[in-house]
Amino acid sequence: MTHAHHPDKPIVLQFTDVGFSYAQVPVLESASFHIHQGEFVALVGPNGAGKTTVLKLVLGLADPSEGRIQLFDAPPNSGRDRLGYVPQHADYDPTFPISVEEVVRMGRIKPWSRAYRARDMQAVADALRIMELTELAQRPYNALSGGQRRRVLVARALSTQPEMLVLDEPTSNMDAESERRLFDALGSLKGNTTILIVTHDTGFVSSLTDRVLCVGDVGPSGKGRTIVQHRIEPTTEAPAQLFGGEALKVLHDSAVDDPCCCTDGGRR
Amino acid sequence: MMEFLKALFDPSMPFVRNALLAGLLSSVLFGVLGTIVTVKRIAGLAGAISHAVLGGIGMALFLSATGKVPNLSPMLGAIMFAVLAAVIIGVVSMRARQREDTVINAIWAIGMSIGVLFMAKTPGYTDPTSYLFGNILLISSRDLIMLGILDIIVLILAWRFYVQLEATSFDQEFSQVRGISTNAVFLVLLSVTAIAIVLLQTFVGIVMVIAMLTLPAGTAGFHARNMLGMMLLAWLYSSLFSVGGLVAGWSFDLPVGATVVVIAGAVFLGFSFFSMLGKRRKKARGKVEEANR
Repeated sequence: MTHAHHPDKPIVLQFTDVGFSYAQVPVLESASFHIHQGEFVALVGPNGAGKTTVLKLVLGLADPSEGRIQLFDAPPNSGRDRLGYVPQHADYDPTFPISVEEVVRMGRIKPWSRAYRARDMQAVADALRIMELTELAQRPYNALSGGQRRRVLVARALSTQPEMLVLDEPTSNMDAESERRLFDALGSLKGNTTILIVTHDTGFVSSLTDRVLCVGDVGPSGKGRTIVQHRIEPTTEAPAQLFGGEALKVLHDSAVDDPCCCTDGGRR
Repeated sequence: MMEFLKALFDPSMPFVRNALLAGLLSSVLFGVLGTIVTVKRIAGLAGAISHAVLGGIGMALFLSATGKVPNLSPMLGAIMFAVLAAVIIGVVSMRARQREDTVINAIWAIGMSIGVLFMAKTPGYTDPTSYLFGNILLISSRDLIMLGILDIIVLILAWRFYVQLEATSFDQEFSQVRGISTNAVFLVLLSVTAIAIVLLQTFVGIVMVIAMLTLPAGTAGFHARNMLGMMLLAWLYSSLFSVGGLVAGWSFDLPVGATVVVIAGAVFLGFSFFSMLGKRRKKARGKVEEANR
């Protein structure tokens, strides 16, 4: 498999010297990276390194204290309309009465509209099909296994017909079969949809991955963490059940200089 | 039962008909708002608002009886405290999640205590219990009209914003990313709940309000397939509990509010027990099937 960069494609997400603090406690400093259209990027880092903060900044759920973030050439809270988000949904209420189809339909929600149109329902049906969930559409969401529920959340994100998919720890507590199906689906989307996958597994990433961004290295002033790109290489050391079978090893001792893949911001 | 029916159609006892209508009209609010409060897991928050209201009632009674603010109605005091409690809880809930529980419990306890203190210093005898359980048999036609108007407002809001309510209750973060102002939804919900609590507690008492906001919806949650089904079922259960409580209370000369709460609580606990039993059986059956394979 080739791990092509796409410097000829437009940039969809760009962090420029981004810093972020929680109540005077620096979390992120001088973070600069960018992602091109169609790339499959893994954002890795140990727990507590600041991955969730990066995610919140990308989604426009938090504002940077320094620097600038552009999502589809707009501030994140405008650009996020073109993004599909798959949260961990760890605080999910197992007694919430809702069917699989109703969950996926939420991807088509608009702030003020109360009705779903025929094209919304078509997008829902397509998303269910891609994630191999059509037969489970009418099942109660809380009757599914953890892995199936995660695939429903991916389907919900896909029903938005996103140009970029952001997945937060999609494989945590997932069975091997669900993981294989998830990566099969992501493989079919690769190239057309930009994919940013956030994971705390710092050793290996899916073989679909084009580039790995690591959160965790101490920034220039020594206070917050920053983001660097590390090299990846094919490996046979990864457990067979990971990522549907094929994985890449992250070489944490081998950083790629910023700006990762092209020197002029990718606008040539 | 026959005695109740006789009283219901007796022209000299309009209060029985009013009580029945009040039970049915408040069931709409208990069904719709109760479901949202339950699925959004803010029952504790609604409980705090409803109990804090006692502080406002006590303050209004004291100021009115001592002539400091003549004719200050208890409902006005209740509204002031409900709004204050809702604003404090709303702000804390949105800004400092980790302290939400403490603030909810503090408001619950402080509000009630302020009410008891004011009532103790109010000239004449004031019984806090009458505000805790209310008296559905004292409802006037004007009260029924107010309840009816609130029913219509809540039904229109729930119909218009059903999908947004469902999405923000299920997954707040995702809804926010999809452009829904989750804070606005939360504050509107809190305000409507606070207003409903004030109106309802005047009629049926604080304990019945909080019990009926949670128990019918909780019971409906055992077999509802979606939020709409839960609202409709909770509406039905609430009507049944209210009418059942009224009939039983009338027939056996018992306080109606407390009877309704006991019936609703018993049905909810019964459903919980059978649900638990059903899950155990299913689990055991699964283990046997696995062993036979």
